[in-house]
Amino acid sequence: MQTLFDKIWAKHVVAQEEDETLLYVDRCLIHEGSRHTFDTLHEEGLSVAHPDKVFAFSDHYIPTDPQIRAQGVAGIADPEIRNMVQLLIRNTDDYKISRFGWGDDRQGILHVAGPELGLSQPGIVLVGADSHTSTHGAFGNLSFGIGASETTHVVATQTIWQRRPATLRIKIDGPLGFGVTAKDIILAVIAKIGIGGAIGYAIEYAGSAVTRMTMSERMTICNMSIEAGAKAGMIGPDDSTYEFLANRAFAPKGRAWDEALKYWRTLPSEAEAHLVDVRQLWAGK
Amino acid sequence: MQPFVTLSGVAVPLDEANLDTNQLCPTRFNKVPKGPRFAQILLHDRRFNSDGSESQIIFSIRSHVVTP
Repeated sequence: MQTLFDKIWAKHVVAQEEDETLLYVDRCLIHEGSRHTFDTLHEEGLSVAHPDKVFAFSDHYIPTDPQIRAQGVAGIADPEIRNMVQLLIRNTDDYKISRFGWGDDRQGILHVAGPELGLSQPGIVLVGADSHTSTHGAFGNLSFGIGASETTHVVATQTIWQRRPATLRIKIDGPLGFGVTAKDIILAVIAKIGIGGAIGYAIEYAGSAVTRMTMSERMTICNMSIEAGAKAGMIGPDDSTYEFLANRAFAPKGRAWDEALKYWRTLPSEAEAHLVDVRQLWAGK
Repeated sequence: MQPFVTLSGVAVPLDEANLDTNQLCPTRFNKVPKGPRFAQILLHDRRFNSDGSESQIIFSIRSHVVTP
């Protein structure tokens, strides 16, 4: 009996050394703050192993004011902020990495634009240079944030060393009470288990309240997992997940979609799968 | 690529629980261009007093500083 986490983990193991596992990485998301990664690549003379598996979003330093945006990158008054935006453009050009930045309709916050583009798919390992990368786990995958030196390792090798986290299933049942949102639910979970309550765990959210949630609500739940110290947050994929992904830019198409769907349907945790810890909450309260 | 074997430097123990590693480079300095200013950023908010003088707490207690 296997959990969603067990299945994804097993499929990505490249090597094992003592208590650390070398995991294959399907997608790596970066942003303007990832500049040190490129400095290190340059200094060490390394190349990007799979530029088609690295996706850059201009979202941490790009101005939100439409009037400033209309002036182009040169319109950013602060030279240090302008430099951050320019560095991402130059580095992604140099290393031939896809960039969703200035003037691109697909540009957005990497944890929103990633799902909108269909990059966040079930069963994958996705890492991002941002602590809230757990958001993508809403689509039934293993997603977590990594630091600058880890990002260098990932883009140079398409792998990452990890200690296997334990799994914690949090079951949230019942209809949401009047005025209760996904944010309230996850805040209630964190209040219950504490801000360090999920350290060392990958959380899987389950239960009828979660099953009824839209993908946006599920993303809110998974996004906040790290505020309880969790390595990752994830939700088993279902028809809502597949409907959201269908026909998105990076989603598989045609026969590849049919094959992907067949595989995705094998991913959800088996009912009796052993989880280290199971906790239950009632959504109405 | 040179294998990482030994790093020699000055060690400054911070004897406290739940160390906040964001203090190594407080977030507002993340956009500072690489260069000489980096030396002033390291542990900035723990090192300097409000008048800009260097705090005596971290780097000046010689008995806590272990030189290689």
